[in-house]
Amino acid sequence: MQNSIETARRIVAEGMSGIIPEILLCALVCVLLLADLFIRGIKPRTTAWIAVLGFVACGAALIARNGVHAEVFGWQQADGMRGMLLNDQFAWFFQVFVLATALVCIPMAMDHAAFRARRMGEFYALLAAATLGMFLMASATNLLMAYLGIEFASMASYLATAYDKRDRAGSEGGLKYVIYGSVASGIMIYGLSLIYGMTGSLHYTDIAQALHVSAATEGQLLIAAILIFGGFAYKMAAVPMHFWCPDVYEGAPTPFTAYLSVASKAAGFAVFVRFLAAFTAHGGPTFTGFGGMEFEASFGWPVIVAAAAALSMTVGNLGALWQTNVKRMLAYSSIAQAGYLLMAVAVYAAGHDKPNGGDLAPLVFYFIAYFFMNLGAFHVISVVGSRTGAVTVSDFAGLGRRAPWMAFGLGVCMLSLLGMPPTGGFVGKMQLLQTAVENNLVWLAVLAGINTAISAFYYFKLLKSMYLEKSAGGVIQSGSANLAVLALLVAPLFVLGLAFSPIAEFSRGFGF
Amino acid sequence: MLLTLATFLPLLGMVVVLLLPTANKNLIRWTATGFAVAAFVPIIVLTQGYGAGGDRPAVDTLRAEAAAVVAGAPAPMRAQITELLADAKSNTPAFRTFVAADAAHPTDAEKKSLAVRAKLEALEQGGAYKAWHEAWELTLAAASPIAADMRYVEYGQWIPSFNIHYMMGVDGLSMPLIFLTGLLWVLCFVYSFSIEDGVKGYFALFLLLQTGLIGVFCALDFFLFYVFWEIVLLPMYFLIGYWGGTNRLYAAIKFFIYTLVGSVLLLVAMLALYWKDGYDSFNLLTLTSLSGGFDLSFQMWIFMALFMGFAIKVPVFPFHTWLPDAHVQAPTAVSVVLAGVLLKMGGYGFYRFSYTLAPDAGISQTMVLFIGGLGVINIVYGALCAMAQKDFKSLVAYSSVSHMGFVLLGLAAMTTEGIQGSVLQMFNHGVSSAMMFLLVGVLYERAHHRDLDRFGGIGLQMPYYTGFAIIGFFASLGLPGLNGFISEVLVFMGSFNSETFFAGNSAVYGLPRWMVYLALPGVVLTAGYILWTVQRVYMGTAKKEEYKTFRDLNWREVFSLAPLAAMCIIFGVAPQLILGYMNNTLDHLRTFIVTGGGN
Amino acid sequence: MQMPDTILIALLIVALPLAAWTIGFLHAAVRRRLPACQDWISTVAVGVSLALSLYLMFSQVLAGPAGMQAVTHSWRWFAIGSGDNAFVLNFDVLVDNLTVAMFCVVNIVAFLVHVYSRSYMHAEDRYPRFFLHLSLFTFSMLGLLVTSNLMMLFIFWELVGVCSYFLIGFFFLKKSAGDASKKAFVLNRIGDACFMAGIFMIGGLLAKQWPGESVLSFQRIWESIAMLGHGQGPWIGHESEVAIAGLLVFVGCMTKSAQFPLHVWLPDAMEGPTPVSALIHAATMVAAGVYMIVRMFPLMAGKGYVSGDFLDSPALWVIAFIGGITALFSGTIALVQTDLKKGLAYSTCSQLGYMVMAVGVGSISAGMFHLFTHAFFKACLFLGSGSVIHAVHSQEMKDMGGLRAKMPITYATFLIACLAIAGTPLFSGFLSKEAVLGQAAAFGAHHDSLLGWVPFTLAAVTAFLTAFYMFRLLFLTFHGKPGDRHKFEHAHESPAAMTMPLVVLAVLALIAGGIALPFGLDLGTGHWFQDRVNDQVLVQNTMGNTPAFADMQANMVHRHDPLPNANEAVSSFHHHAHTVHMPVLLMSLCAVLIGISAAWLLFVRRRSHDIVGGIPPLAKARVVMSNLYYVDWFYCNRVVPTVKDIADLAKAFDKSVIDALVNGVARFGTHIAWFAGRVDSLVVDGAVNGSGSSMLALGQFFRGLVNGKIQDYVKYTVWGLGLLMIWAVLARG
Repeated sequence: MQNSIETARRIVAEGMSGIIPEILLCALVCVLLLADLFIRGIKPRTTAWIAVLGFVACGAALIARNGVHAEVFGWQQADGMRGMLLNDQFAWFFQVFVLATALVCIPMAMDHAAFRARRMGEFYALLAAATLGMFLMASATNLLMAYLGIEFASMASYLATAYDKRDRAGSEGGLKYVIYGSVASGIMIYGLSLIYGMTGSLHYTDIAQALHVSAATEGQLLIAAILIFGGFAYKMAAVPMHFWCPDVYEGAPTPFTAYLSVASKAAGFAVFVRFLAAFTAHGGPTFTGFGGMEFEASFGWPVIVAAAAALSMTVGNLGALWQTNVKRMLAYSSIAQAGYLLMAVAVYAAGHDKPNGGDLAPLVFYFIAYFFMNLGAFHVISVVGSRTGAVTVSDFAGLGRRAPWMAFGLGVCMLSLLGMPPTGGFVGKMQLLQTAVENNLVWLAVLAGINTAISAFYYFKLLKSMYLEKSAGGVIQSGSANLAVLALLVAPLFVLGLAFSPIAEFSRGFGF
Repeated sequence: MLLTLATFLPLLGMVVVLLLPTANKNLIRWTATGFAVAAFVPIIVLTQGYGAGGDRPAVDTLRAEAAAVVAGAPAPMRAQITELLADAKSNTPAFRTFVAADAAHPTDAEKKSLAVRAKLEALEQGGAYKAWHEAWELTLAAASPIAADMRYVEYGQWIPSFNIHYMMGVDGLSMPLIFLTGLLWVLCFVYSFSIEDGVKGYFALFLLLQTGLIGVFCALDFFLFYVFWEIVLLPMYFLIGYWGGTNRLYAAIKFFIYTLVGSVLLLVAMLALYWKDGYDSFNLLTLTSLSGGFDLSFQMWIFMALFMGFAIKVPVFPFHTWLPDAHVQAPTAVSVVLAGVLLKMGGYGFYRFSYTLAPDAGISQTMVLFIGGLGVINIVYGALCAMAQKDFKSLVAYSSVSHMGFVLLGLAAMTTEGIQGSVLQMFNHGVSSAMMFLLVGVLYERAHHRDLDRFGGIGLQMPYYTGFAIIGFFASLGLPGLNGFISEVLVFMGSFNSETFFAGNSAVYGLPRWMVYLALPGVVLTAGYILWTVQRVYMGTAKKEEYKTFRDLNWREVFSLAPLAAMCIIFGVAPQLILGYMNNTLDHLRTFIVTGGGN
Repeated sequence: MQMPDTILIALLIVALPLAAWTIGFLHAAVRRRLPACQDWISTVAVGVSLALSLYLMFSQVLAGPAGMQAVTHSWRWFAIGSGDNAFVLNFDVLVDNLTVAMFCVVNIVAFLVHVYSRSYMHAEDRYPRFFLHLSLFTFSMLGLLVTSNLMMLFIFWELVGVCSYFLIGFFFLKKSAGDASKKAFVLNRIGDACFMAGIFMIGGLLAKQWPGESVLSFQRIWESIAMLGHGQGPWIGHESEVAIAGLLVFVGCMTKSAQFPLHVWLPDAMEGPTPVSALIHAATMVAAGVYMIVRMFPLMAGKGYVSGDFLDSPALWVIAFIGGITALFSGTIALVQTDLKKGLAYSTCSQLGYMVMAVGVGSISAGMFHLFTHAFFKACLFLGSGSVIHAVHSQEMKDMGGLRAKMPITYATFLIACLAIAGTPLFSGFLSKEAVLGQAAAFGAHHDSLLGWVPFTLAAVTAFLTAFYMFRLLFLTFHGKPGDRHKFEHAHESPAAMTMPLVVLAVLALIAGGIALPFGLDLGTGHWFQDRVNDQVLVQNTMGNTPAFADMQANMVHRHDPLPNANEAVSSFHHHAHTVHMPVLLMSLCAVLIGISAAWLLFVRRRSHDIVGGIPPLAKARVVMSNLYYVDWFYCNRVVPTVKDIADLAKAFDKSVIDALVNGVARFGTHIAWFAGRVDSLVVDGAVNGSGSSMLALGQFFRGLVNGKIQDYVKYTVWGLGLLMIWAVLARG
């Protein structure tokens, strides 16, 4: 007993050096809260700079961690290390990604009209906390840790969603988020317990080995798989756990919506892919029978994920068609985007343990493009919304004249989301389709193609409104800082579309 | 360099135009026109050069590039690369994947394959795999049958990680279309001086469109092609959507979505080809070198996916309904380029991609009947629809549907006359339909309506204009002495002569003759609607007092119409001027297709 | 290849009118109006053309016993493909007896019409344009004659068609003119579509046999027929295809030469100015169909061409019958026409029927002969009618009458032409019609069945009708009392520019028969027309030097002077041709006499009595004929509306099915989307909202306990958790 406590202490002490960025984030949360609490009349700007400082520091620590491959809080087993977190390239990428998203959201928040008269320390603290949760999601190698990361990120997100207390929609959205999130957690934890029951462990490596020799019935595995997938899907905002998405996106303050749509989704994918890799290692289980009935077709993760991909993109795109609220529309769009991304995961599930399969590059590349195009879109929506109160598509009428650069930026982001060359969205989608076609998921690729065409309807609704419809409104002053941010978000889209070789090479290094 | 210049000068023009002050409309107009003219200069040089057999053949360029790539590889690996390249074509099967060989008793082919694979792995160890792959691509490209007539090839690295190259070139298939593009832009810009609203955006988008189109016709890398292909969509959407008629938004989005569906399927086909057998190549010439070896079922679905992409553009029945809407709503100059060049992207695609990448599918009985049948439907159905139109512009639009049917018919026939007639028809239709849309536009600018039943007596009022109209309409009708006749006759001749025969191992299916008989009434119907139109619009007495105040053509309109009218006559009398450009290319192309890609 | 002078001259003949057209066209293109002196340019051009034609005629055709040796030349038009797949089209030129003779006819009429028009059209608007069109027409017509390539022929064929279109629609302000021109072109287009199909079939067969050579040249077509007759060559196994091709080509002739039932455009074409009717719709263009089937005679005859027995050639039977039916059919309609020009138009149809029938019964020399003579007298009649119309400003014969005194020259020339067309002895028409009737009778006698006599019967009845209706026209116009006193008062003889061409044509109508005195009246020229223009001369002169043809030539027989080696069928035919001459001659003389007398009786003696109206069956027949046998009615009220209905149907289908399908797919998508959206916001969202509102209620309950700031709770919890963690770590040291 004493020995095990001693071991645990040693593990924790050693592990601390492995989580410096996470610790910095914790510190940032504390500093922000304290500053907000103790410094009277602290300006939102000041807290924002503190947050930037903190994130940059965290980023520096993260960069220092580049190339590390280490189990954190790990202990030695006969066949290798077991830990709670695994700092590897995969985790590193998603952590950088989440951090970058948070960083971009700060200037957006600084500009956000509803935030101007408020104490913002809490908001940035929540942002940092959510980021911390997502850091853990990205690197968790233990289901419990993954669950904790999800919950931690979710908690912070619930609060941030409802941050603008005077905004009814925000509060409502927040509440729905909480309720929905609780349900999702419940579902997931039920799946976890099943897995634990079947394998006797929560660590991915153990699970994988146990499944390899397991006597568990396929029916149980299937239930567990679907339940757990439900939990992950909630984070990825994919069908069937997407329902929260429109309300929350609509209700949340736009800068945080942006954060949710990018960082939260990425973290969801990160935690899911890592889990999937373990679950399907050694060929993975296929479920050929259920409850005494024999199904002829084999059924496994690739099918579940492919189905989810197909449904997500279809439901997302169809749902978006009728939306008039821009944020709601982009919420559905992000569901559809999750569907596209899941294509890559489906292929990964099918083939990651085969010599030629398991390429995560399309996923990574698409996320990089997604980062710029989605944040760019929300940036413009936030800036324009803050100045004109625009919330519906028709509110954007004539933006091409009123704020040409903003309109141009939003237009490029829309085209990129749609997947038109020469933008990054096209190259990203091309790689997603390519990986699907390459792995005999042609039907999915074709479906994605048709979906792309459908999505043109609503992406172009915005373009049409901005350029082809006239409005009486005057010129909107966007501010040079906002334009600079816009430029930083939009210009890379062209780089990604026209000179993506380095990024494509970069994105190839993120397997397990 | 010339191709790059021709392609990207308009893009530069767009940037310059965007930088000009919005208020100075004339400056914008002249600058844009200047860039269109500037882009036309290299095109003329190209045309001249190509006609004179100028520039070195693609084969030489590609071989030189391959040699350079090998020379750039790590020194110890060069010999091995060269050794592998010597037998480039036989190295093709599945070189990146393991052959599913029975390890104990591999077949000879498998042994060979494994040996190749071992060599390739050695190259990979030595860090020369990339170089080998590129050299291999280039070697095969040089061996491609369509490289034989390719000229002015430009080759450069673009996105190495996906083996995407900046590769451009022209042959007899693309040359006439590029020329037409260059010319039509100049004419359209001059014609568009009357645009007063949103001048800057209009010309900027128009210039962007030109870059896309010339790029489409020049690109020899599938990815590059696709990028240009998609670039075309966007300016078109805005040009229709902003400067169009009352129902412009509907027409614009319909155009966009419809063509987008097509291009996405095109994309899927492109990716399937890239993936095919681990070739990892977007190089069109390389792929054509390999296409003969693709199995038929793969070819079939590649063909269908490509077909969908191109058919929508052509447009082929039943995917044509976007066209009348787009035409009716679009401003005149946009209609002109839409009918003149944009539709040709589809036909060009059939030749450049569908039939070269899936040659066996193209000559299979199913596809011959399918394509030929659709061609016949296009011809007759388009003519019937045209006859029933009340709107001048939609009449001309449906006549385009009808005329593009000839392109399909000639293509399906796979005879020398059929193919050359079909490509010639693309060019000729580009000239005559552009002219017809200009003619409609001229009238619309004066009358502010296009209702055929409300015109009359224009011939008396605007005799000079009517002279042009007669040339344009009769060229479209297929009157001998004007350009449309030659292509129609060649297509018909080709389809009559089409017959099933055996070339190499593959049966080349001919077009059944009853199909051609079904298409023939289209000729009568065409005469019917054209003459009926001429009568309703130009003959008789003026139905309204205001028609008597119409002024005849002004200098801008003459400038736009005269070159087209001249081309109608010149190419009608001397078709060899165009046929001479296309002959070798299309002859080789045909041989390539009917021999099943040479395998 | 050195170009013979003859070719050069022939080309010059063709090119001169083109030059006149080009000058006018370029002038119009650059200066936006035609040159004022276009009439002079055109007239001079065609005049020089005429002079050159006559030069060729006298220096070449009339020089030798069998006329000139055919000369050919060829220019590459375009060539595509290579090797076995090559496809070459040449501008093949052939100048032989027939070409030169046709040159002369066309140029004579064209020149006279030019001269005539300078006066007749002078007051019209767009006067120069008229000459521009005339020049283009003359060029196209001459081009049609000079080429020896079916595709090229087709090109010029279309060009004359379009010129005809322009000229019929010259008074395009009138709706009727527009309608007529459109009708003419579209109807011709139907024939052309079939013609094209025929051409393509022949072309396909030829191109396979001789790749890389000019496809569709006459020589190759003839050669193939020759080889077919000998059981060899590319067309073996394709006999039925060849027959179908021949028939398809003939459909082209049917529209151009206004054969029943595709004749309806020609009477309407009288909407054009009268000189045009004379030139295009009487003398030259409508004869192009006949010329074409004459050139394609071997094709029509098929295998029988070599054996010499045409009777088993299906195409010729069809041609003979169509020709005969047209002759009679149009003749009856001509009986009741009240419009002078329409009457002449139906007479033209009828005469064209003669020519076609002549070819059908196997005698191209008779057909061509009638074509020549007809060109002169019919042009004379039309120009004469123009002169009358010019005088009374009306085409209706009820406005005319008694003009004899007012317009003596016009009357005299009209009378001569009438006598000629009626077939009065000593006039040209007599000889040519006799030739046609004689051949038809020989055909009947040779075939010796009811069916075989049908063409002759039709032709014989028509001969009577012709005399009758022509003199009816003459009497109604020039004899009796004036129909419209006012118009009569103002009528006067036309100026010399108009009467001179009439006189020239009348003279030609009188003497042109002299070119072929077939009945042994050898006036030193021999049977010179038949010696020069018959199928063997036409074909052999051109083909004589081809090896494949030498064989055929040896086997072929002279169908007019049986050679010793002639086979039985040919001898029989020849025998009959001689035996029927006399009876036919007598019969047709009777027909002419009865016809003229009947006309005189009805329209001079008893002009005021409506005799026909008194006989019910005749009155009924008159109604039917006046309604043109309802053929036009059928086209205009049944066929055209049906096509338009189909077109409307297609349009509706396009709109409400195809497009609706597209939109439907889109709408279906959006409906699903809407549904999905509703499900989202009502069902799921509702459930969540439901739970949400219950939660809110719960929140209300707890509100008293807490301040409702959930952030604070979390903050405190985090604080607490954080402190605990710090403690735990520190406590363990």
